[in-house]
Amino acid sequence: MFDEEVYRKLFVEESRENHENIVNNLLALESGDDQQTAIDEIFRSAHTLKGMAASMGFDAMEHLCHSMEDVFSLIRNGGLEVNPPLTDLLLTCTDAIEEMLDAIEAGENPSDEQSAPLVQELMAFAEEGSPIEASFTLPNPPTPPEPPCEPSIEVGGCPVYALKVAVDPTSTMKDVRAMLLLQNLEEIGKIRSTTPPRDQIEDGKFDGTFEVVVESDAGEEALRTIASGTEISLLALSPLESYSAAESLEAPEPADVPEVGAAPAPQMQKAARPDKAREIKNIRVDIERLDQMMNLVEDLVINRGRLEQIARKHGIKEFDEALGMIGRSVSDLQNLMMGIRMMPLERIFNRFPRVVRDVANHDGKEVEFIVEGGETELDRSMMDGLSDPLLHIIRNAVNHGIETPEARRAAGKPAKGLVKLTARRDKDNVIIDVEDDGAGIDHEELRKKAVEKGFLAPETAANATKDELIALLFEPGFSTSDVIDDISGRGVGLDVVKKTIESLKGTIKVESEPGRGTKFELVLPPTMAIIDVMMVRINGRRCAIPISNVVEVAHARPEAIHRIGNSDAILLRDQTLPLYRLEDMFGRAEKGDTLIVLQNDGKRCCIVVDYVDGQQEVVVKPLSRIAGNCRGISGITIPGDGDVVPVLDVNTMI
Amino acid sequence: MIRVLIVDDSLFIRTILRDLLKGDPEIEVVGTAVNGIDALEKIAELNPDVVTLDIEMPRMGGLEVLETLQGQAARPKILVLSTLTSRNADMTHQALRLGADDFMLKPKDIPNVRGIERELVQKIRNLLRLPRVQKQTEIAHKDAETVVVIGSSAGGPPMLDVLLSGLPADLPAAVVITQHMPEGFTASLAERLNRISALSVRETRNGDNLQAGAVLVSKAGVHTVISRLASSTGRTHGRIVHSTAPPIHAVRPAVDTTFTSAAHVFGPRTVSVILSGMGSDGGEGMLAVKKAGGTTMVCAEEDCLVYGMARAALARDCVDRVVPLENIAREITRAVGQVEVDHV
Repeated sequence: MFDEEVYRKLFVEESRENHENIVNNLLALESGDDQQTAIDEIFRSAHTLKGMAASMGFDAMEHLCHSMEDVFSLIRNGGLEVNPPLTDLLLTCTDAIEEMLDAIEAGENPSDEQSAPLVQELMAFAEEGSPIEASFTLPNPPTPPEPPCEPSIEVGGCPVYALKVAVDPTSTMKDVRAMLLLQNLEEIGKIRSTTPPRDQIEDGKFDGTFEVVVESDAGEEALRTIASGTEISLLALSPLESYSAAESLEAPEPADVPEVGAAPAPQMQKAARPDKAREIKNIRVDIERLDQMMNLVEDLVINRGRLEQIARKHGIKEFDEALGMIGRSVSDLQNLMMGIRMMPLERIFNRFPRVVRDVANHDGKEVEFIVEGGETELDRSMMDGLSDPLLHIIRNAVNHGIETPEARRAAGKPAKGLVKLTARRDKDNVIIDVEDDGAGIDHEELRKKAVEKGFLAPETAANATKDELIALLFEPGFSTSDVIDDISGRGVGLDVVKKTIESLKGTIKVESEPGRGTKFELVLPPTMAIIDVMMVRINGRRCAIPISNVVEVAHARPEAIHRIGNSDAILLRDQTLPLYRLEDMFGRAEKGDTLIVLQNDGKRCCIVVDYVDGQQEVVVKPLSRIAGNCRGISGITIPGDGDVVPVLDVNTMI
Repeated sequence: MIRVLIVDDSLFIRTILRDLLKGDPEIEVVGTAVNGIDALEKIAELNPDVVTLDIEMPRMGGLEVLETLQGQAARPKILVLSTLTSRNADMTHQALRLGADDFMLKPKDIPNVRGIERELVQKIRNLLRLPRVQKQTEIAHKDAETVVVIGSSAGGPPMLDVLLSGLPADLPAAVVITQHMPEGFTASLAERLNRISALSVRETRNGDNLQAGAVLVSKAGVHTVISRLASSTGRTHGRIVHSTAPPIHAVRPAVDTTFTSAAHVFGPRTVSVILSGMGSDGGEGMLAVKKAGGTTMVCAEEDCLVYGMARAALARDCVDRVVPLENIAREITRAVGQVEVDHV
């Protein structure tokens, strides 16, 4: 009945939320924001993580979270101060947790190889922080059970005690009292010797007191209890010899550890977490199911198109009306589905504060990191692809952009640099900016490098504009850093960033002002799945062009077309545009008298087509893996009549 | 049908609990709540029979829920689910004092433990089935001459409910229960059992005398050793000694320690019972009881979540009777009566 995989998924998902919460609150703690709330949040998240890990039997993770919870319990009660080494340790712990979660997600049960030393360090902090309350953390330490002590072994390592016992001289049963005592002692240990000898004691031949040397690991308290009772009392108890091993075994002696007084009832968490409260009305849906639903909606859109074509053929009024209604429902459903697939960018933004902190610490820089617009939503299919490029840009901003505090002061800027990540919606597009107020990009340096690395001929370089120079940054193999370091230089350059963004149908742009800072602007289409296209025909075949790329449709006058080198160009209202005929794909155009002007990222070109069929909303399906990536084509669409139509990828054309 | 409301801030835990309860035909999960405020609303709205309550939750925790419910006449039975920390042990005890009816440690290592839902289901059933018992006022306790020792581990707590609610108030024997449990939680266990038993139940203290009609639950973290005490009239009685000797079979308290020392002190006047439990603790102890002439019984396998401890005893060929859970209280009472007849 227990489907482990389902729980594993659920476990990982919720654990990641809690993990993120810990990291963010640790950073908040460091920045000195509302301390109490942060501490409470961390405590609760660690507690939840521990509980979940325990129920899944992930012991290593349970122990680690348990130790973190203990440390925060101390912090919460004022028994421990948060300091930089502790924060570092805790962040290392969160890294370990993240790795464990990765392992768990991959179906493994993480070992404690990595976490065990961390647990030890945390416990050391806990003990050092508050010797009194340390006992609070001790009852359930994740240490292996002490090796059992075998009293039968002669030098077994058990503590040895000397007891001096008195029997009430008026007792009529001195012998019985003494014998009972010896028997009781034997229950918890081994009697080494008695004075006088045991047989004399058991015969009552002693003058009121006798001594026993007993080897026992039961603890002094047990001995005291046994040695006092009716008509019998303990005069003295002293440890006689102790072996070094014995001492360590005796350690968990409760009597020696001050009782934890009624710890002040920690403040229950009062601060409302709005997203938590919202959860009541939310349900979680597996992302795969969402994709399946999206596919069904896409099929509906396609079949609606097919129905519309059939309807046109027959011209039945009632049918058209019904179809109109269906059409509206399908559109609503489609919009709804796309809305559901939206996720706030916070999901990926949340990991960046930590990155900025780490890079800044590593480089000895002071950086303030501001995030705005994390609530902006984006289709989830783009979310994953966006994370790494953004990470790279932000790393770059701190690593290459922001100067050292000294350099900044010398330049008359505040010592603390600023990196700002903002997201906003602009019509259908989502725009993400990464801005820094650092040194900016040195154009002359770029010019020099371009020549050195052979990207530009010296004379071209001398005349290159700022934008042309900056565009070089996105060329493979062009990096401004002379030293490959472990922060930015991971063998991935801005060229990969650009490629990734383009694969998401987005664009990337850089603006830089020397001495003032650099700004990366990412423009992303809201969703990739359903777009408006213009349907055109070339040589009787259809082609779909995203409406967002179409600037205008014009009549092509043959006299305006000029041959320049190997390619054609056309003069259109004082602008010379490259002209493409797409003959490889569609064959020669029959009339070729219609011109479509396309635009992407500020650059334009034209194509020649025979007819324009009209505008239509279509579903773009990616090319199957067998076909692979095809330059110039972003996917295919099925516009209702069952035909398969390629969708032009203007981005790669220009 | 038992209507259950699950309260926990973790979706993961809520899902697990719901699934654990789903298999039982008599239980219906009527809702879930994510914090105390939500819980109070859902309790008013859904009127559940039983609430499983988490302690640490944002906005309003479990203790505050209990405080709010305290004055209400008709409120659901409440089962507190605790995680294993000393802080939670304190809070669990506090929860019981604030009116929670029972507690349970959140299930551990669910994928690998078969039948783990049984303890939860039994606890929930017991909450409705076993009423609180009005104690007879002030029974004059006298030193016990007979001892009943009970060893129990994983899956044991709901069985103890059944067993203790069946023992008569005038049982002429002391009862010592050694239940494997994390430190800090045994006081809560004793408190819970005290409410449903006609006998008085509390956690052991070092130096406690064993008295007839009184039940002691071994304090976790120390071994419960029973040592011999002789009264001025020469009759021997038992006394609890807490020993900090290292764990045996990785547990402390160990059933073996309690059983063996009980056998040495009470000899044939020892009645021993092993309930559900993992491992082999108790086997040697039961053998010692048998050798001393005492009575030995283990619970029937079909009533136990885990049969390791009972099997350890059976393997030593020292078990007088294998008894279904519902008959154990009666069998104990009869065995104690028989001791009185045999050894006056």
